[in-house]
This record gives sequence, structure tokens and C-alpha cells, in this order.
Amino acid sequence: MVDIKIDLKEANELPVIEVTGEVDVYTAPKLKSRILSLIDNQQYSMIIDLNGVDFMDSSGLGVLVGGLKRVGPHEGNIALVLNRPNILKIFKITGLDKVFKIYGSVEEVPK
Amino acid sequence: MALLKKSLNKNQAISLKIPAEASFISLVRLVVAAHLRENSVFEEELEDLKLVLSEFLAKAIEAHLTEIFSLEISFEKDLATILIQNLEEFKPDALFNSRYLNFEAIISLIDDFDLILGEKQRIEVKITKRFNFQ
Repeated sequence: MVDIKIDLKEANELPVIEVTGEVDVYTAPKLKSRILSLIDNQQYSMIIDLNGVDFMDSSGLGVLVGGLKRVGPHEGNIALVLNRPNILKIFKITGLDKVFKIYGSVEEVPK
Repeated sequence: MALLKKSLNKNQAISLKIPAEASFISLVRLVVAAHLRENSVFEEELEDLKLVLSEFLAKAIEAHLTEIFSLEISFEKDLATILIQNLEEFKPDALFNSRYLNFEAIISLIDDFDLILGEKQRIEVKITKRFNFQ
């Protein structure tokens, strides 16, 4: 069975959640848990690097939107790093490409 | 020179029986993708089918429509057909609707979606997608 790998790094003085693998109804809770642990530690701005994600369905989108809603009241933000066409397509057909700030690489995310 | 027209390996079918559990959905994606990649279909079209399957199976699990998914995946010429058998009665739009991906958006990624009344009043879902080759 395909699993997900989630690493925590840092770039531009922001925590970076680096996701590798597939994000679906089975693995999305692991991503959610990592986002929530940052928020619990009062880190309300973060980068989520999805360039290692091969597949994502609406469960993954739900986790990302949930995270954005949680950091919003704290004036935080979630920047997505994503340049894979198949994953970008899901953001486009759902209109979420207008909700998230999406960058091609971690280096492009402003401080 | 003979003109070579590409098509999916004729009359190939794969039967799959898996527990209706979230951890097994990736296996379905893997099986479908492995076969279609062998036939050099366009990756974007393959990704669309994987997404539709995942959304459907996840919702079917959530709605407790079956304990075991019986899938018949067949390929002929440029057409892939996935028959998901032995489901409880349900409303298809409710199964495809999520907050983020609505029924229309998901259906637009495939070519056809049919409900068939199977044995003992159980429902079969037929998802078909036509492929182009690289």
C-alpha cells in the first residue's frame, strides 16, 4: 500500500512541511496532524511543499483548506509549493488556486 | 510501411476484490495506472481516472455501501471501463459530491457514468473513460 512521507524543514524563517507520496482519504489525516501540531506550537505561517506529491484527492484539499482556516484568525498564512501539473489541475478545477498562494519552489516564497 | 494504430491491449480485464477500507484505495489506483501506463496513454488522462476512482471509492466507504469492493477493470481499443459491483442502493450525486469537487467537476473528467441494477437489487457502477495515446 502506498504511504505518505512528511518531513519538517525550515526555509525563509518559516517551517516547511515537505510531503512526499499520495494524499488521499487514508493518508490525509497524517498531513492534518502535522499541520495541527505546528498550529498548536503557535506557528501560524508555514510553507507546505507538495512537489513530491504524486496524487491528491479532495481529502487532501480539505486538510489544506482546514489548515488555512485555522491560521487565518492569527494573521497566519499557508504558502503552497507546487509545480506538478496533475496536482495543480485539482486546485484549478476547484478554484482553490485563487485561495492559496502557490509558488513553484520553496525559494520563491517571500519572507 | 504498415500503419500502426495504437490501442489498449484488446479484451484485457482485471478483476479485483478488496476490503472497502481507505487503505486499499491506493491499490486500485496502482493497478489501473500500471496497466494504462504499459499502453502509453496520456498521463493527464490517467490522472483524471485515478482521481475519479479515488473520490468514488472514498465516498462509497464513507456511506458503507459494501464491505468488499468487487471491481472489473477492462480495456478495449481506447476505452477503459471500470465496473464496481455489488453496492447498496445510493444516489450517485451524493457519492461524488465533496465540498471541493462537485459532481459536475468529477463527471467532466470521465466520459460516462452509469448505474446498473445488478443481482439481488444490488447496484453496479460503470465508469468509462476514453484514452488518447502518446
